[in-house]
Amino acid sequence: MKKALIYTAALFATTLGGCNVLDVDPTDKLSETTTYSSIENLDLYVKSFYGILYTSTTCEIRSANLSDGFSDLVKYSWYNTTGGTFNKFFYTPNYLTPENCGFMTPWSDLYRRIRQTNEYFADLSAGYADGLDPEELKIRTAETRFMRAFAYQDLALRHGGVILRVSETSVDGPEEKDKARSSKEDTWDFIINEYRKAAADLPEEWDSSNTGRVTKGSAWGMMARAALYAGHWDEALEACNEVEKLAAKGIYQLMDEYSDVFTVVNNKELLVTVNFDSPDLQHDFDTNFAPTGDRIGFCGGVATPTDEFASSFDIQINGEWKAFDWDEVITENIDPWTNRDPRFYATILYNGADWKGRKIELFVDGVDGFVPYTGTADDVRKSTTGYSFRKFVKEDPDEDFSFTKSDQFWIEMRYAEIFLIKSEAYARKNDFTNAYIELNKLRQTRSSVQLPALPQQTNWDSYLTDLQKERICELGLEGHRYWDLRRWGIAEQTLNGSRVHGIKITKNSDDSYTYERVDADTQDRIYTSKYDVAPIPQDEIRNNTLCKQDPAWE
Amino acid sequence: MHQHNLSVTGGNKSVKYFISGGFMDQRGFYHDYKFQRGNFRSNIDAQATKDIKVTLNLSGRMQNSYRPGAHSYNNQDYGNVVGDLLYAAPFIPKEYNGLPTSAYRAGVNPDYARKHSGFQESKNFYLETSAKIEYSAPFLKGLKASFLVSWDHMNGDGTTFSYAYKVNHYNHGTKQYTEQYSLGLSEDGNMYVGHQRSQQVLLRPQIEYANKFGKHDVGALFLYEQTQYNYNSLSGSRQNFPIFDLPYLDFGNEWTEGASSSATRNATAGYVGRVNYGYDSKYLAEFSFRYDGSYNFAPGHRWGFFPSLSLGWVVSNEQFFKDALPKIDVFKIRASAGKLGRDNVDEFLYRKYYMWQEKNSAFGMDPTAANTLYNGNSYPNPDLTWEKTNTFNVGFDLTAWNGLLGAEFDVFYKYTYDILQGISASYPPSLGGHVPTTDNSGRFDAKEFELVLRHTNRINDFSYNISGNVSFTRNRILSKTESSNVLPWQSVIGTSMGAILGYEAIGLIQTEEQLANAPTPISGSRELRLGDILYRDLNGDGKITTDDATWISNSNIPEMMFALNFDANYKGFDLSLQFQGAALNDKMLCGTWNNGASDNTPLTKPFYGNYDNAPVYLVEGSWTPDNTDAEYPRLSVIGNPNNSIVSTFWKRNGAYLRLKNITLGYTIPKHIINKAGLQNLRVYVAGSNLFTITDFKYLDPESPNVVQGYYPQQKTMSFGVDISF
Repeated sequence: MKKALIYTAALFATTLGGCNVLDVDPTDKLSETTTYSSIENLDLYVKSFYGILYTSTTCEIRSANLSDGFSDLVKYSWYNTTGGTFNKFFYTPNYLTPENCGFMTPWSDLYRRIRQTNEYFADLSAGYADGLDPEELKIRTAETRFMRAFAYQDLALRHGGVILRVSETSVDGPEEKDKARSSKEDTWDFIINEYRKAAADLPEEWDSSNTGRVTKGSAWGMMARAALYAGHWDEALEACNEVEKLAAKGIYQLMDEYSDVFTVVNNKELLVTVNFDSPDLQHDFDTNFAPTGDRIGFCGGVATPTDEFASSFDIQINGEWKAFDWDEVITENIDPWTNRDPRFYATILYNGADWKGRKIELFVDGVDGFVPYTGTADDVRKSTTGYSFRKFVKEDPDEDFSFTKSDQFWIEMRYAEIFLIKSEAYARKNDFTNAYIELNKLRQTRSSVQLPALPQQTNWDSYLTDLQKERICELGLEGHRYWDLRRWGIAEQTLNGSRVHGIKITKNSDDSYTYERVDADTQDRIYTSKYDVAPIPQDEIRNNTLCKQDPAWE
Repeated sequence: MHQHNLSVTGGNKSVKYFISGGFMDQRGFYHDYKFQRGNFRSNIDAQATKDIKVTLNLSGRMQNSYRPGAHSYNNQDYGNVVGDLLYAAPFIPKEYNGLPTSAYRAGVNPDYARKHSGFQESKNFYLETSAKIEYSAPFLKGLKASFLVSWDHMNGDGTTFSYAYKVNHYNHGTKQYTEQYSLGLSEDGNMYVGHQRSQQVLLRPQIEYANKFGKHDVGALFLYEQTQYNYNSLSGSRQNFPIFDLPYLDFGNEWTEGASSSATRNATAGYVGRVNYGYDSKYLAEFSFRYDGSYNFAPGHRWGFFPSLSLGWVVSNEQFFKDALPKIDVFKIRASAGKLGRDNVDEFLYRKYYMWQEKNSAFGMDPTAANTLYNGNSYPNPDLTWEKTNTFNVGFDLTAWNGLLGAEFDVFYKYTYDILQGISASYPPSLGGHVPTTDNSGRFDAKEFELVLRHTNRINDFSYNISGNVSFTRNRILSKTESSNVLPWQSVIGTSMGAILGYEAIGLIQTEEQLANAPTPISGSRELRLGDILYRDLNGDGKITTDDATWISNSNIPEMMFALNFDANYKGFDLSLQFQGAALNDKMLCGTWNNGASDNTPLTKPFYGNYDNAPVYLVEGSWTPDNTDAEYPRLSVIGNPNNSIVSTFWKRNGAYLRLKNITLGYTIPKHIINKAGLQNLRVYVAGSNLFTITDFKYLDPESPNVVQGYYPQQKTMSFGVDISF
């Protein structure tokens, strides 16, 4: 009996000692000290903050929703599915509301990214990174600071003053949930200062395996843009000059061949770039926007450039450069597609253009277009405006992008924008001489783009006409137009009650073409000045008692 | 489908055994979808010595499933066969210009895909073993100690080899056919091979005692159980196959992503004890407890103690009762109270950890996608612990008149607290998620009753029994974290679990006056017209916004369920019928999809997505100026959010009664089969889901709310033979 009792007890003992059987470690998660154990590991963590440059609102190449769709440059042709929001926005009164504003402001996503960067600062303050080389650490901190400023800039761009959660010792949690919005001034001041701090510590260039990470030039460039939006003209000029200093050192330059800017990876004009890598990191730009004939039934047609966009590019008639006018071209029987502003050929595909070994057919019944815009259809796979995008579309005839997808890089900011910012800042200070010097530099520096100097104007409104055209021709499709219209205060007058247009091209039996400028909208667009500031999402107002909605949206 | 089973059982005083094997082969409504399973079992009990008994149970099964490469059966999956077939335009010919046609927006033809899109195959083998050694103490009668070890093993392979097929896709807008490859598949072929393995080891030492001293009946049990589980998988995929004939990875030209692997581990541990006492078969009491640990929680909060107590009084064994009511054979009153726990939460929420994110950015002169680390748990919460439920129950059992009447009745009250619930929704998005995602704060209760009635009788050679049962349960959320200024009609407190939020519909707009007085429709809607749905403006602000949503329906689970069984035997014939039904069953024709979006379904929005087929009732029953007494809103060429939101307009009563099963069998008389050496031979024919009585005419009342692609239940007829030797 004793033996039996002993055996039994032994059996129990072997298994009862297994209370530590519940100490299970995860197999797919890394411990809390992994990140700060070395600079290489820290880089893995800091690189995740770059995700903000890859979101579908920032990195417009990545989603089908180009912010130019909110302006007069791009026409979306579907209604219920991809890109239909733009048409609903312009055709339905009161479409943008605090409950339905996700398409206009990625509020939750941006604050989530801000929280992630704040965790980094809190960890630093708690001493996690004390064992790392302080010089290397400073650079990573500066990168994180840039990303946080960029997120706040995106919010300020849409809303003006926002809730600043910027503590660097602890992350705002449930205790701090009720927090008021800061003023527009304070918000922009914060953003500009963050870029300034980041610029001080960021390197001028990275080694070849890290190209694409933000540099001193990136931070100064973004600060210039932020200062311009904030209305701080001197700070904008200061930042632009810092970028010019780096350009003088040879780090940045305007590309001679204009099309190289969009096709040569990591070229010298880029200040902030977003790279992709097929097949691991891709997007659908070609499936959405390549001309229809590239893969019939599968691509294109989601949106196309409007005639307003295409006709912003000047034409040289009999040696004289003038603004493009369809009436003149039709009556005088001039070929609309030769002798245009050289940037036109790299930006837009027109009827008859050479493309992937064929000629683009944007006429009625042509393989790439033209179909009239009806307002109700989806799956419209042909151009409703008589044009198709060329900028950012890949010109590789062998690529099957419907399966392998696209990997063109997105340009968040490039050196050309610095000239435009500088010019505008000078003009705002009434220094039109320098304003025009900068504009003309952009028109005459590249060897492939040689345009005559613009005659100097002496008042803001006339200058604005020239500035608008330069911005459309240089930065069209890069996500600037809508925000430009807003900050110049001319969004309502440009968009409300207007319609965009397309060019209906008919091929005649003798292979000549007849051109007719037609509406590409089925009704007048609706845009009120209320839309110039996006509403704070209802979710925030509901859960944050101190956050107040803009009076226009109450 | 066919299914066969053979079993052998026998033994003697020292060794007893049970061995069986079976095989099943089942096809889907497309014959190319198949499932095959073989299984075996071998249980052996051996009395090794006078005091020690040894048991060894082995069972295993091998199951193979095979499907065409194109499609899935999962509800709401992209490319689901049922969804594709149901919502495709019905007027398209099967073939056009030599190619199969596609009448559905996804550009697919499931019928053609069956043999022309590759395959998906999975083969899994499961082995379950357990061995037990039991020692009956000779020095104390009724005392036993045993030790059980169980080892379970799984080994599985999955292969998918898919490629696109060409279709002529019909575009409703242009009314033209376009030749294209089926969507979602690659014309160059794609192959995935995966291998999984898992094992679980369970240990359970146990000691128990049972004995009777005079009128005292005593028993006790104490055991400890722990399990450890681990799982590994390895997979690889390639694309770009020039030749489809041999489905092996080597024939693919490019690695899609190379190889990947993963592992999972978890463990459980717990103690169980029980003491029971009975006096004179009249008074019964039992006390038991569990003490469980979960690895999901931080040390210090891992263990939970869950006791329970039950008492019974067999009144029918009392002399006074036997004298007073002799016709009542059994009458027992019982009551119990207990506590149980649940650890239903994601693991490791108490720790800070980093996770690996694949390739979300690219760097380098020749850009290369980088893997990155991100903080996986923004707000570690070390205080998480077990959810607990207190259950109280009172009931009685009754049998009278020799089985002519039998009844069981129970009433339950369950109170669950410390529920692990998600709480981040009540924080503003500007906090970016730095909030505890889960805490133990929910509370809810449930009131239930169950009633079973039985009647058994025999008239000469005809014997039968009827039994019916009904159960009812109603639950209520007592506490749940929500935002502090939630609207009173949107508060979740007091609603039942899974209740559905939506708008209150008043009806269709019939008059110009109603049109003029109607509140502004929901954002994005077109202007209201006659025949649109009119909603109630709950907060009186003149417009319909998300603030006007309220609780409009219980969840898909009915509150009351009932069943009726009837068995009869006459000479060699046996008949059995089973009815089953539900009441207090709210069904919504639209609702929340698996991805969380609340939206219409093809059942409530005609030509959903501008491509799909539309149910006849939505089109023919729609409001028109000639048909104002219509059940459904007016049709419109453009999508109109006003008629497409989740509301009471689409709520229906799903009460039903269904003949679940009917079996008729005949046992061939013994004197005939004994000559063939058989002991028993019975043939039977059975049917299931034969008919349903319900007002809910749209589809199966047992289906979930959003039925996009729900594989319907089937009416089946089967026949079989039981033979024993």
